[in-house]
Amino acid sequence: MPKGLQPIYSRRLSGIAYTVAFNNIPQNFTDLLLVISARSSNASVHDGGGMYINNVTSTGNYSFTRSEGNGATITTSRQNPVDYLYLGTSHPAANATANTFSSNRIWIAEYTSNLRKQIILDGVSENDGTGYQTISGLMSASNAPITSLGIICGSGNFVANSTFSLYGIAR
Amino acid sequence: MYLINTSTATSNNTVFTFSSIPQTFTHLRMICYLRTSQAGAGANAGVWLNNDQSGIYRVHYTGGDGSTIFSGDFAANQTSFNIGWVGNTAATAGLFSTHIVDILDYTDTSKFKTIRTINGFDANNSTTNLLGIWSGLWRSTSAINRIDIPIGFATGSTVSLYGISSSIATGA
Repeated sequence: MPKGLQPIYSRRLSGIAYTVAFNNIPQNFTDLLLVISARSSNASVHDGGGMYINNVTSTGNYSFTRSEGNGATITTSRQNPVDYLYLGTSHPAANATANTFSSNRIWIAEYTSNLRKQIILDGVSENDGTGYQTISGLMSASNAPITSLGIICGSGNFVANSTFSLYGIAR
Repeated sequence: MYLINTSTATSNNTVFTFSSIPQTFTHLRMICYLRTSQAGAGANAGVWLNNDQSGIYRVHYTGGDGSTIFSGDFAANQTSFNIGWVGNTAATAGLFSTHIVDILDYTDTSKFKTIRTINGFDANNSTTNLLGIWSGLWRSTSAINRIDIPIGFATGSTVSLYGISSSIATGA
């Protein structure tokens, strides 16, 4: 296994989709890195997003702590338990500047361990107006190794040309 | 992740330019280790894409300085985007700021370009200690082939540009 960042999967949408799933994730890396450049169809300026692991969407499996700014104010909050990992105000939506997509980085440490999983996120939802910047720490209570990821849009669907890239990091 | 190029300032007032950026990767990452040689606390680093200074950038940031948290907006029609607060002349000698800059889908001509930066700087004194997440929007669908960081940097400042490929496997 070569050291460093190795591409695993990528997806570029040709139409709308609410969920993008990566299945059969190889188990021979140490960490996972997911990068998302996406836009929502929702009739708003920005939309949220989420992620679930191994198809588990049961309440109580996830929690997160988040700090988020919007160019004027900054807020911080924690939610526990929740039924998916909330990725914050993570994507421009239909009323945002045309052709504008998000930039999100999600790092999943020790994804094959038999312990609870810790995840960190930094992401921005840009717009030629109000823009959001988010930093989150997220936790999955499951001890199972991660074999699949589901990325979901908030109130809308991901639009065409949204891209999702999954990498493995080998130490 | 493949190193495209790296550059280190060998004198003060150095500016960084990466031109003829290969169009063969999916994403770009720039890792910067910076200290300005210009006087003044809290200097921040503007960046041009494709040498465009026409006022089609937008900049937002959220950060803290050890006592206050804040979020800001540089307003419309900026002539550069920004990758954060730079180590400055008030800081302890030999200290540089760190910036990790990601530009996703940099050759995608269907997208305006969004730039995300994590940035931190501890001056080792009480002058200017800052950290933040920065976002920038370049309202152009052009593929990025050049990056300029034009403020004057001190000797030892280093910028490395990497290309990141993505897999052809979909994992569906």
